[in-house]
Amino acid sequence: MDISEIREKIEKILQEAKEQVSAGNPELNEQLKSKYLGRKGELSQIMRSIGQLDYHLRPEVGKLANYAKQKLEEIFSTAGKVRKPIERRFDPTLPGRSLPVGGMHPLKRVLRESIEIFVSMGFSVVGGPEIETDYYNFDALNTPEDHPARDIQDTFYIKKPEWLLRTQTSPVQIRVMESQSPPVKIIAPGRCYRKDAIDATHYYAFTQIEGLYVDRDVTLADLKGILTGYGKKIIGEDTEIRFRPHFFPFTEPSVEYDFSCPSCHGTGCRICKGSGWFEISGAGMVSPKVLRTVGYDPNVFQGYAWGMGVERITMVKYGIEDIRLLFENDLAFLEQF
Amino acid sequence: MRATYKILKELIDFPFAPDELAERFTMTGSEVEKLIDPSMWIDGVIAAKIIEVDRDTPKHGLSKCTVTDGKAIFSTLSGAPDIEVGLIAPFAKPGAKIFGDIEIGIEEINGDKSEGMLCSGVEVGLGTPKDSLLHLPDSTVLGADISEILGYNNEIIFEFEITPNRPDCYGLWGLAREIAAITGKPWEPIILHPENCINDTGGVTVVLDTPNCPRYVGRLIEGIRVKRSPLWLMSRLSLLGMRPINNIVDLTNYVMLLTGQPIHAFDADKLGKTIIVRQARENESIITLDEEERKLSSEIMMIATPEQSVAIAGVMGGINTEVDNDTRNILVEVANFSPSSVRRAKKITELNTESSMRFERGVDPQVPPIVADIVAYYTEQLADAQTIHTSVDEYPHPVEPDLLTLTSDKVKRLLGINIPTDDTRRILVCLGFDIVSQNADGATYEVPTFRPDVTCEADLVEEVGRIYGLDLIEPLLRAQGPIPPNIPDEITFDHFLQSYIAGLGFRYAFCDPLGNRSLLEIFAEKPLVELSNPISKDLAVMRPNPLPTLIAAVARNLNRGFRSVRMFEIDFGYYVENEYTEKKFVTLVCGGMRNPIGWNSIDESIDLYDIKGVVETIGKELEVNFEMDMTELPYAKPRTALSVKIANEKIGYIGTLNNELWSQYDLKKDVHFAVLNFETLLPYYLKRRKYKKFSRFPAIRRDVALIIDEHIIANDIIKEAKLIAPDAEEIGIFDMYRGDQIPQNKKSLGIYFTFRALDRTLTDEEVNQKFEGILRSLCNRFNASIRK
Repeated sequence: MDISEIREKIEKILQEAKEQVSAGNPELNEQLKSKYLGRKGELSQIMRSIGQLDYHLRPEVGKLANYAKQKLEEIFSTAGKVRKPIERRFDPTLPGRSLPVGGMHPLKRVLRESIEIFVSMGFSVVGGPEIETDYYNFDALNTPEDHPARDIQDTFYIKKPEWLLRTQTSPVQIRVMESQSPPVKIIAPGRCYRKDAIDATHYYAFTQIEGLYVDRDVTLADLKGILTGYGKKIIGEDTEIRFRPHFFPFTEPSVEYDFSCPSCHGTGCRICKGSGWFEISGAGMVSPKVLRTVGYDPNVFQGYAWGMGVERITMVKYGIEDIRLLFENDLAFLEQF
Repeated sequence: MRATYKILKELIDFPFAPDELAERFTMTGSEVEKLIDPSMWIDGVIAAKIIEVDRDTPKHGLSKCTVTDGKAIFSTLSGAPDIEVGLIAPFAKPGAKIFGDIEIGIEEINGDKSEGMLCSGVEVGLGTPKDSLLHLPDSTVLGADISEILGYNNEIIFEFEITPNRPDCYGLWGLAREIAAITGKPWEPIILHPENCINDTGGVTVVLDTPNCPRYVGRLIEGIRVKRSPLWLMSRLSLLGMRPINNIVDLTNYVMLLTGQPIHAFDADKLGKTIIVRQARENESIITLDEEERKLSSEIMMIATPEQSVAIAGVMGGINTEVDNDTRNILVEVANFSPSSVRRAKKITELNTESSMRFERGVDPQVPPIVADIVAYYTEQLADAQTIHTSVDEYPHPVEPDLLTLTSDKVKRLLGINIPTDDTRRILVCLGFDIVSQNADGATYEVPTFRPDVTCEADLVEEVGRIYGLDLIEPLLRAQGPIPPNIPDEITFDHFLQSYIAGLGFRYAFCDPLGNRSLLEIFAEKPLVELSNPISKDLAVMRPNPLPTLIAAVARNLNRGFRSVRMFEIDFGYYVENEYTEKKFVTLVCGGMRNPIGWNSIDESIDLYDIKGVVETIGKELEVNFEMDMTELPYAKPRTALSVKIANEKIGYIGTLNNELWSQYDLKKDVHFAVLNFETLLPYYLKRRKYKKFSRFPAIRRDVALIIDEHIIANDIIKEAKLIAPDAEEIGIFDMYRGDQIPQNKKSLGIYFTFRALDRTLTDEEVNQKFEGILRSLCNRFNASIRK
C-alpha cells in the first residue's frame, strides 16, 4: 500500500461518514461512531497497516490518520447537536484572499517616466555626487564667490572648507564636459539641497533633472522642442510651453520655462492660481564662459542646458498642492498612486 | 524693486494699460511679481479741519475735537499730540476704511461719542508719521478725497523681481529703458540741474586711498533747511516702498530710486572738508545710523576724515555725521564703489541696505556727476538750498565702454530663428547700445556702462531675443546628436528593484536625507557627514543609510493606525571614509499585522521571518546565494540580527529593531528591517543567464524529524546536511516542534530532502540507501535522535 492509496481510503471513509450520519438519530450515530472510530473501526485498521509501510512514510501517514480522526469526531459531534440538517453551500461571493499591496512613490514614478522619455529622445543618463565642491557647484558655473547670484541659493555647507551639498544638478554638466568631448547629450537626475524655509512649495531637499546638449548647431528652438515634447508626454498631449527671459550665470541667453496648466490649459483657474501657467524651472544656452572653462571652443560648439524640479512636475501632474506630502510618506497618500 | 504706473508714465510714453505693461515686463525678463492698487488702501478718508479742541479730557485722556469737512461737523476723539485748531488733516468719516483694512465707525469712550478718526500718515498708507497727524497744506480743499491728494487713484504699484545681473533696473531709468525697447522708441532721461551754482568746490578735497573706489563725487551744499518733505514726495516714496524721513534723506532716496545710484548726505559741519576713502584699520569700529556699533576689518572700505570714520562705504553712514533737524550744510556723496568690496562689507556687517544691494550688483561709473546735479536741483526745490558748490570729482581711471560686434548669423545660430537686422539694431539702440559701425552682416555696438552684465556676443543675442519675443521661437523637435543613448546599469537595476520590491507588497517611501545626530549615530558604522549651517538640530547630519529615516516613516504610519506597514527605499546614505562617500542601499522596513483583514485570514504580527523571506526572495530572483548568519547590531533586538553575505563578503543585514529605540520613534510594536548594499547586488542582476538542462524525471522526497538540542541552530543543520548530501536537489525545513512529545531542552526539526536524476527515475532502493547514510551522519554530528 502506498501513500496515495491510504489517502484515497481515508477520503472515502470521511465521505461515507458524512452521508450516513443523521441529525435526528443519536443511536445510529453512536453505532456509526464505533464503526469508524472504535478500537476495531475502519480508521484503526488503517493505522495498524502502517506497520507494514516503509518507515519513512510513517510520519506522513500518521499525519493523515490524525487528520481523519479529527474530521470524524467533528462530523459526529456536530451531528448530535444540530437539529435541522445542515445546509452548507459554497459561497463564491465571499471576498477573495487579499494580498499585501505595494507600490511606487509618485515622485519616483515621475522621475522614472521622465528618464524614459528623455532617453527616448536620445539623452544618456549620468550621475554626480551630492556632496560637491564649491568649484563645481559655483565657480565653474560662472558664479564666483563675490557674485550676487550666490545669494539666490542658500547653501548647506559641510564642516570642511570648500565642500557643500549641491544646490543644483548643474555641476554634473561640468563634470561630464570635462571628461568627454562634444557632442554631449545627457540628463543628470539627482537630489539637491537648499537651505530654504520649509513650506507648501519649498523643501530643503529636492530632485532635479539636469539636461545638457552641446554640439555644433544646437539652438534655443531645439531646447523648446525637447521640453515641449517632454511636457506633452509627462503631463498631457495638450501641454504648451512658455519661455520667459531670466538670468542664470551659466546660461546666455537664460530663460525660465512654464508649462500650461493641465486643468485649464492656460486660461487661468484655481489650481494654477489664475495664471494659466506653472513655473517649472530655468534653462538656456550654455554660456561661452562655461564652455571655455571646460575647454570647449565656444566658436565651434554651443548647446542648451536645463534644470527641472521633479517635485514640481509631480505636483502639477497629480494636482498636489503641498510639497511636504511627498516627503511625509503617509500611506493614505501613497496608496493613491 | 518697485515702480508705479504714473511715475513710469511721467518718464516715458507707452500705450499699455497696467496689466498689459506688467505682462510685457514679465515676458521681457523684468518679472512683475505683484500688482498693488493703492486706491484700495483707504476709502472715505477726506481732508478735514479741526475747528475746536478740548485737550486731554480727564475722562479718557484723549482730546475732544470738532472737525468739519466743509459741509458737516463731526465730533471725534484723538490721542495725537499735535492736535491744533486750524490744522487740516486726513479724517476717516464713520464707515471709512483706513490702511490695514480697518473700518472706522462711531464709538463711545467713557461716555463721549467719537465719530470717525483723525489719521496719521501711516493710517493713510504713508510710511510716516506714525504717532502724529499727517499735516495737510492750508490750501487743501476741505472734503477732498485723501486718495486723490496722495495720488492713489488710477495708480498701480508694480513689484518687480529684478535678476542680479541687472543693476540698472534697480532704478526707474532702467525700467523706462526697458519700456523704450518694448515700444521701439529710443529714450533718454531728462537731467535736472540746479538753477544757481557757484563755480567753487567750497574747499572740499577727496583722497582715494584704496583701489576699491573707482570714482567719488562730493558736493557741498550750504544753507539748507531740514523739514518734512512735501506730500507728493512722501507719497511717492511710500508707494515705492521707502519710509519718508526728512526732505534731505527723502530726496537722496528718491534720486536713488530714479537713477539706481545710491547717494549719501553728510552733515558737512560735523564732517569737515576732507574726505578719505580707505580700508578700515584692524580693531576700528563705527556706530552706524541704526545705532549699532560695528566692528570693522581691513576688508571693509570706509569713508573717513583725517580724524574719524564717518561711513561704511556703500553700506551705511555713521551716526557721527548724520543729517538732523539742525543741519544747515550738507556734503552729498555720489560715488562708485567696487561690487566685490561692498559685497564683502555687507557679508561681514550683515547689513543689507538699499545702497549695498545696488553697489554689489554694479552701479554705472559714468553717472555720478549727473546724479549730483539732480540732487542739487532737488535741494534747491525742497530744502531751500542757499549755496550750491560745484562737485569735486575724483575719477582717476575713467572707464572705456566695451565694444561688441553682433552678426545676424550669430542670432540665428543661438536662437534658431531669423530676426530681421533692423529689429536687432532697433532693440539694441533702444536699450542704450550705440552703433559704432555697421555693415550688411551686423554691427559693432558700444556697451553702455550701466550694463556691466553684457560682456560677449551671446549677451547681445539674449538682449535681442528677450525683447523680440521668445514666444516667437517655434519649438523644434528633430533627431540630433549621438545615438544610441546610454542608460547606466545602475539606473536599470534601480528601476527593476523598485518594481520587484513593490510587487512583494512594499511601498516606496521617499525619506528625509538629513536627521538628528544622536539618532543617526546609533545606525552609523563610519563618521557621519555634518552640516556646518543646518536649518535645525533635527536636520543637521546626513543619514548613513536610509534605514533610520525609513523606520520613522513606518513608525508614523503604524501610529496613524495602519494595520500593516511595509515600506522600502532605494537611495543613498552618506559617510566619511577617507573622503565623503555616497553609497546606495536597498532598505526595507515592516511592522504591524501580516495579513490584511479577511474572513479567512489569521491575525498574526509580522515577524523577522517575513523580512527574511523577502530578502531570500530577492536573492532567488537574482540567483545569488545569501548566507545569513547570526550577528549583533546595536539597534537590533538580541538574537534577531543576521548578517547577509555573498561568498563571505558582507553585503547587508536583517533584524528586529531594539525596544530601547521605540521611544525615539514613538513606536509601540516591533518593526523589522533589512539593509542591502545596492552595488554588490548589481553584478548578479547583470549576469547573463544561461539555459541549463533540466530533468523531466520525478523527484523523490524523503523527510525526517530530528530531535536535537535547543542550542543547535537551523543554519548549522542545513549547512551540514548540504555537505553530507551534496547531490540532493533541495534541502529544507518543513516543521519545527517543541513540546510534550519530546524531552525538555530539545526541539524537533522536520527536514526534507529531494533527489532527482537528469536521465532516469531514481529507484526507492538507491534513495533509501543514500538517505540512511545521510541520517546516520546527521545524527552522529548533532547527537540527534530520529523522532518516530
